Amino acid sequence: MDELQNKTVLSIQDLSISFGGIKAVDHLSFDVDEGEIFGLIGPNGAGKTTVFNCITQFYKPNHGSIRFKSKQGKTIELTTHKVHEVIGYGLVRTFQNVELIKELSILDNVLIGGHIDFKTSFIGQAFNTKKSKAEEALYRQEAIEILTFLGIADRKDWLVYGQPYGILKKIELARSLMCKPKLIILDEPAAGLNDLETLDFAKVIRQIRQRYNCSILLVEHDMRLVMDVCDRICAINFGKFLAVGTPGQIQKSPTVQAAYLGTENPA
Amino acid sequence: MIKKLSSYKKGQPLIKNAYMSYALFGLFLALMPLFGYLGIIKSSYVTIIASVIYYSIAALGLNVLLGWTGLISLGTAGFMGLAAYISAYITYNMHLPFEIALVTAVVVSTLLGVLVGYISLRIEGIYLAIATLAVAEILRKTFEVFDPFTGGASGKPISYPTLFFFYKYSRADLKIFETLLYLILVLFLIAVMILVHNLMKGQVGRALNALRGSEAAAQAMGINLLKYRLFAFGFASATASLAGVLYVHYNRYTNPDRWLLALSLNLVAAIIIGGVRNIYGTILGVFIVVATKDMVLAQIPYFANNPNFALMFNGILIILIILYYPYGLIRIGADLKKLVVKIKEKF
Ligand SMILES: Nc1ncnc2c1ncn2[C@@H]1O[C@H](COP(=O)(O)OP(=O)(O)OP(=O)(O)O)[C@@H](O)[C@H]1O
Ligand SMILES: [Mg+2]
Repeated sequence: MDELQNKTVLSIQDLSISFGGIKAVDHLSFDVDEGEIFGLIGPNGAGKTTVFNCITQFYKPNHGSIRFKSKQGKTIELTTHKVHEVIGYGLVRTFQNVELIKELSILDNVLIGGHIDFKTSFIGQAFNTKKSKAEEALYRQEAIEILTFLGIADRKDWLVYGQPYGILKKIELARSLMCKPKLIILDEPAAGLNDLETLDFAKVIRQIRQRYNCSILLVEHDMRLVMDVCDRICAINFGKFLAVGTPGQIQKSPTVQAAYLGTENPA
Repeated sequence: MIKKLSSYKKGQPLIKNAYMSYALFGLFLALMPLFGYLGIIKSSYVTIIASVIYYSIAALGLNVLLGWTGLISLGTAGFMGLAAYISAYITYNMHLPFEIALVTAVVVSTLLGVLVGYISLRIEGIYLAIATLAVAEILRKTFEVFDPFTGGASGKPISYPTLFFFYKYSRADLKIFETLLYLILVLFLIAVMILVHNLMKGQVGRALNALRGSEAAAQAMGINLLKYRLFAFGFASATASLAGVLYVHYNRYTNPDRWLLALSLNLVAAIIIGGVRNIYGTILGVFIVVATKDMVLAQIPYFANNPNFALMFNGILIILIILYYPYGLIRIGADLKKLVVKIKEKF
């Protein structure tokens, strides 16, 4: 396997996966650079979520390679790793259909994002040792800081159950920040936000990049947000590559326009 | 709006320091033999409370599996029985001390539990329930046919074991041994309560919650499903086998009919009645399932004359709670408090 070049953090090459007869992703290639906010766009059913599932190993692709420059500074082939190992390399994701634990408080949900950082053993936790307590307190503090950063710290002790959709999306985002990621993959993070909140959210995304010195790969249907916040965008349709470039280039691309005109308004 | 949402906050416990409350609860239980001796409670009640204690130990572990992890097991009775027979054999037939028997019995049945946990990775829901049930039934059949070890269908009477490696049982010490074993029961219950409390409030508990609430989220956050499923199964079988060991030495008897599916089902019912993912709730549930029949309903003349109706009463209670009170009876205090506050606000 070739090492990734200096500025590339994620390199997808010739990725394909099909379900039955449907080619959900079809020979797709693109690269994400360090510190880049990168958008993946396409009409409904284009295969965006499937690409995310392949990167994070929820699906094993039929073909292709997905290389990642890990937090530890090594280039790794993600397809050879198990799904729960991925976060350890500094690659974390959120879900399009929120995946939270309803019966837990918001704070506890965020703390799940710190799971792999806990070093205390089962035994240490069973005896509630000093080290265990200190570790718990440390990550609790970190979680509260993240919630404060996202503006929802006042609700930290409330159950996730019954929270509005926009808040749920923020809790998932907060959870993904706990591991101090190198690359965050966000699947429709602004769903459920109103216009004003969406504007605000663009700021948050930029702040996240700065704070964590990370790259962000996002899928989003709100085109104003995507065009505003992304450095580069890759457009796909029917699992196939259409174009990659700056927001300006993508907007002007005739193939992208054709894909979107062929379907309903994506926003 | 804020008011409404804040009602989803977690309730505050009666005694702030959890360890203090466990210690007081333990002290309260430990005084029961004294109360019995002084005639404050019927002395037969001490035996009933002892049964609440050992079944609670098993139920607490089962709650970790069922409540926190969301995996079903109908094999609890099998694991309890296995450990009971092993411990009985080691103390009574091999004349080894209680402590050695305890450790051996718990280790052996926990390993078996972990093995079942491994199977659980392939099957889920109703199929897992059937698989665990099958394991328990196989164990029970084994108790019946393995005469030389188990005494077969007629059961295995034993005498009190050697305690603390030196204290040998003699007839003159009957009362002392009975009380000592009761106190050992209490000690183990409190230890298990604290263990569950410590483990479930931190990283391990959150991981198990994640397994139940969203496997996708759990995996994405780096939680190894296999590891935590094995842990949950191992923990449930460890407490079940501990309970089995305590059962056999407290009662000095076991037979295959003590380890029927009905017991496993009762423990599941206890958790649902008392409170899923709630430590005191589990104990309350066990109390309702195993003790109300004798300690409460038997006081009411109608039920005393119709013991079968007492069983029906439990069944109806379970159905009502599942339908209308899914967090279990342990929430009743907090909910009543809320109701009072609401009523006060209105007037
Ligand atoms: N597990 C699966 N089994 C079968 N088909 C699947 C599976 N996952 C995705 N697909 C199919 O793959 C195609 C791409 O789906 P995907 O969810 O990736 O689209 P998307 O671009 O994320 O769409 P949306 O914008 O609606 O979220 C769809 O036709 C979908 O039905
Ligand atoms: Mg999608």
